[in-house]
Amino acid sequence: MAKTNINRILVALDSSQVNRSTLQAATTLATNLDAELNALFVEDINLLRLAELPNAREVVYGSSSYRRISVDDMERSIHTQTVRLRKLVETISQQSEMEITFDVQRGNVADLVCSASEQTDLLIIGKNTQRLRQSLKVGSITQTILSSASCNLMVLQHGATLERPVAVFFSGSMGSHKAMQLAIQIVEQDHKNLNVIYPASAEEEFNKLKQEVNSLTLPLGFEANHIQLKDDSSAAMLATLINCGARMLLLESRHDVQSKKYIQSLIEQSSTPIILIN
Amino acid sequence: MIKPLSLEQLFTACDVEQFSFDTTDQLQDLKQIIGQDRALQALQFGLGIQQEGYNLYVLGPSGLGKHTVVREYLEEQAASKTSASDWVYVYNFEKPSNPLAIRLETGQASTLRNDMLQLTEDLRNGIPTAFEAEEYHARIQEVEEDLKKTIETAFNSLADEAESHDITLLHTPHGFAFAPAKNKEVLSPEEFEKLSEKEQERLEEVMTALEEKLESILRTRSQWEREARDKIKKLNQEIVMFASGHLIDELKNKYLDNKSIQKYLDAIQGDVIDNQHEFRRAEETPSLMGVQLVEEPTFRRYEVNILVEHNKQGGAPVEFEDNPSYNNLVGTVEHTAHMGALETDFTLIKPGSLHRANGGYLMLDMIKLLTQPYAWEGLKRALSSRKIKIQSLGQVYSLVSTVSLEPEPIPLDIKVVLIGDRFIYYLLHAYDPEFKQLFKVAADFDDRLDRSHENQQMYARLIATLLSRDKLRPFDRAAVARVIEHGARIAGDSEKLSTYVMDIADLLREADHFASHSSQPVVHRDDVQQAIDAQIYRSDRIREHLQEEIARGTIMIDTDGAKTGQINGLAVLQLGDFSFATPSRITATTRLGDGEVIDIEREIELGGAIHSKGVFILSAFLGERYAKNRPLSLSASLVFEQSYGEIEGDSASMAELCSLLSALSDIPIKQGIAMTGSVNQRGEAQAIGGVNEKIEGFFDICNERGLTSQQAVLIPQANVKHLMLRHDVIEASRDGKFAVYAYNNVDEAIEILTGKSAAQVNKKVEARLVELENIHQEFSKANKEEPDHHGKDKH
Repeated sequence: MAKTNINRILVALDSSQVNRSTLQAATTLATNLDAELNALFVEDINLLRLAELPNAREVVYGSSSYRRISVDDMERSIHTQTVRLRKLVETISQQSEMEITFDVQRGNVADLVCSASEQTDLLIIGKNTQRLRQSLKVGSITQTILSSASCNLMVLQHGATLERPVAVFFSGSMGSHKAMQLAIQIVEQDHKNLNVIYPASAEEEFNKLKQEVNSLTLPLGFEANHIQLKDDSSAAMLATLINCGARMLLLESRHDVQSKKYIQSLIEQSSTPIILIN
Repeated sequence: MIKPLSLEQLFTACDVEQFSFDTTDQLQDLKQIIGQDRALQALQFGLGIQQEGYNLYVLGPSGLGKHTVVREYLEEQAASKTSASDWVYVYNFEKPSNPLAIRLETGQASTLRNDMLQLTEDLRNGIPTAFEAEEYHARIQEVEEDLKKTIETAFNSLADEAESHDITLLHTPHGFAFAPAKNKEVLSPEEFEKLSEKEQERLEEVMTALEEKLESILRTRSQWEREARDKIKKLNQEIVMFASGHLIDELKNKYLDNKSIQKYLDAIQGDVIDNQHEFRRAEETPSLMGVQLVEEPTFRRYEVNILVEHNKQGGAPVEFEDNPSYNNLVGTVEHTAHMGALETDFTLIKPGSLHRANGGYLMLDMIKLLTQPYAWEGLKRALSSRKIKIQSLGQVYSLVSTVSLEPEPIPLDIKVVLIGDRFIYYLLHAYDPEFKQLFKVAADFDDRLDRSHENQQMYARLIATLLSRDKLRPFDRAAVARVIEHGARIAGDSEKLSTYVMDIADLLREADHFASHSSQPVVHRDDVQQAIDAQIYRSDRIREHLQEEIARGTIMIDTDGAKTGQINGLAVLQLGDFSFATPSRITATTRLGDGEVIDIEREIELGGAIHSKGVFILSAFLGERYAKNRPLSLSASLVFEQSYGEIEGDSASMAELCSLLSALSDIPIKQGIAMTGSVNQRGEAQAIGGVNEKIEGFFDICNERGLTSQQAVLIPQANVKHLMLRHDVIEASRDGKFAVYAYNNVDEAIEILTGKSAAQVNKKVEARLVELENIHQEFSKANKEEPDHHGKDKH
């Protein structure tokens, strides 16, 4: 059976306030999978360019006033952010008793994160970290990473934590086998609380897939909760996730246009952390 | 010659034959109260009249059983009246420092308290459950998503607009900024410089316009958020109403007739809505080193503090407050210590006896009430205002200025019955104007009743009742008769009976005790006599000492022979509840003078006013009888020999007169006779007090020295009806060894005392006075001549 080895996890941090929860979720997952954890912060080149422009100014949070910005101001702000993030990483590393490396790069955020993802097995990114905009849509950087990242990808909603139970979307394909294998790996050490969602309109197909999953879990001493999904829309999937109370979803990442739309819609509408298996 | 009094006159025995029972257990308990018709009528009137100020003061000496009588009477009256209302204090949601008082029908207080406890529990379960419902979360999500969408749409349209102008919206570390961009990458300064001036200006203009829009979005965003919060608040209210409305309505229907409860439940509904977050709070609250950082909601404000609750079948309440302190009367607001501070709330309001007795009767002991600081003032204030207002003394007298609770006053409808002695009643009546207004009815308990045949029968039943109440042995009729005789002795009158129930009850218990020594099933006359003798003996130490000193001659009292100007008077001493008499030698001396009778006791200020009055009266008698038409050239001195204390009363004035007549007539008085009685200006004998004790006091001395058959006591005729003498005196009189004479005037007395006729004595007195007058005239003449002679010499 195809297996997903997650030995290195990269968590992408940004300038938002949600880094702590993202980092904690990454630590949990790395502990479960016994993987190495690296953190990356990309200092956005666009901000520095903005500061270099004549008449550069910003609208400050909570105030309607404009503030002129200089390169020095921007450098100082970005440096402060970097220092704060380094401290955060150190704190969480101490708390979780896990070594977390912290790397800082400067450039285009999406490009550098995608580039770094080539050296890792799982990339963790936050979704909609800019709470002020309250955006439901997937941001442009996330969108770029979704389409360009070469490794497995985990998208975390703001403030989400990794909890039981785990749900996995199993269609019998190679990718879904990998997702299933990783899901088993996640739940096996802990709670063995696994929901398997089968995209099967016919009973026969459902039973067949169920048998396949049972052959994987029963030897390990637990049986998954089998859920038949007759409707293949993202709305049906979301309803199923709510019904089974899943707090993490694993599914195969496919690159055809329809699948991309499906995944994007799922990410936009669900508050459940999603792991996309390549 | 006057004869000694007969045995029947000395002691009026109780005829045993008048009783038809053998022992008291054959008698029925006495339901009515004997001998207190006046007091009972006053009680009946005072309790019946429903006007302001008609409270009662029950007056009379202690030991009459006033408490028992009044309590039983009140309980009897109360049983036929309707039960009083229940009262509770509840939280005042509008003004928490003024808890609300609610009147409830009898027995409903507990029901309301339980209903409120149940309601609180239902709310604590129901409200979180309602908020956990998926529908609620869906509606909250709808509101939140609407808000998100609104904000997102605004930002997205702004970002799209910016993009259409080759401008990108950036998140800076402190806010937002617009920058010219190409393929979503901000232009470098060099690239920007390469743009035409016109393009640069266009971009600048667009960015300025976009910034204004951004500013507007940020401003409007807080309004959208406020609107969303309002929607959520309204939704929460709907949910709370849904979860609590029917529960509260249920209670409102249950207490439909009580407007106060309706209002209170409405207030609760509002409070539950306002504080619904308390019902939704997580069970675990953060704590540091065991101290809760966030105070847990206690829901105490929904509790009901039962102030008073009565039994439906109980009738009106009858309360006796044994410790009538201010707080015990009007109630108090207690405090609890919390983190070094004193805290209180409406659940710590404690009732006073006025609350408990409201709608019924409250009995108070007046002495106890007056000795408790401010208690009397507090009671008067409550009765005057007809309200019970719970205020600490600090608040009443403005001694403290800290904020405390001021519970809503409760209307007062009560009859207060004060029980005290007469002295306090008259004192308050004279000096406290409010007392007259508030306690208009006096129930005066008499301390004795007529010793009629009917009353003796009733007395026997009273004895039986007291015996059965104290579970004592039954008394045979002779024992009952002896108790009745003793009752007359306590009353100090053979024609009256004492109503000091306490003394009678004590005698019954003590007689029962002596009967128990011989394991008798029934108490006999001897046991009663033994109890009486034992009572006397226990209190007898001082009397015995005095008697011993007389016997040893330290105190000089003659009990035989005859002496001029010397007589045995009799003085009564009261020590605690025991009184006794002892003889006292009175002497009189006479000499030439100006008609002045010197009372030595008065001169040295040891004689009281009444005693002095007696001496003045006898002086007046002397003048009236013996020197009506000529000057009284006499100077006389009267003294109580060996008396070193204050002398009061005029009961020795006849003795003093007789000793003076003896001194004047030079006719000796028989020392075996003692006398008592007061005299008026006409020489008539007047009644005195303590006649029994006086006779017994002289008898004891004579008996100690040996009775000679010549010894006797003279008493005024008016005192004969008071005689209830001790059995040993009666025995001696029966044997002719001792006698008691009654006299009407000084002439009768002097005849017995001297053995001479009054005419003989008077004649000698007159002769002596004439003699003195003559001497006086001679002296006067000589004095008149002498000054002239000397005057001449001087000239």
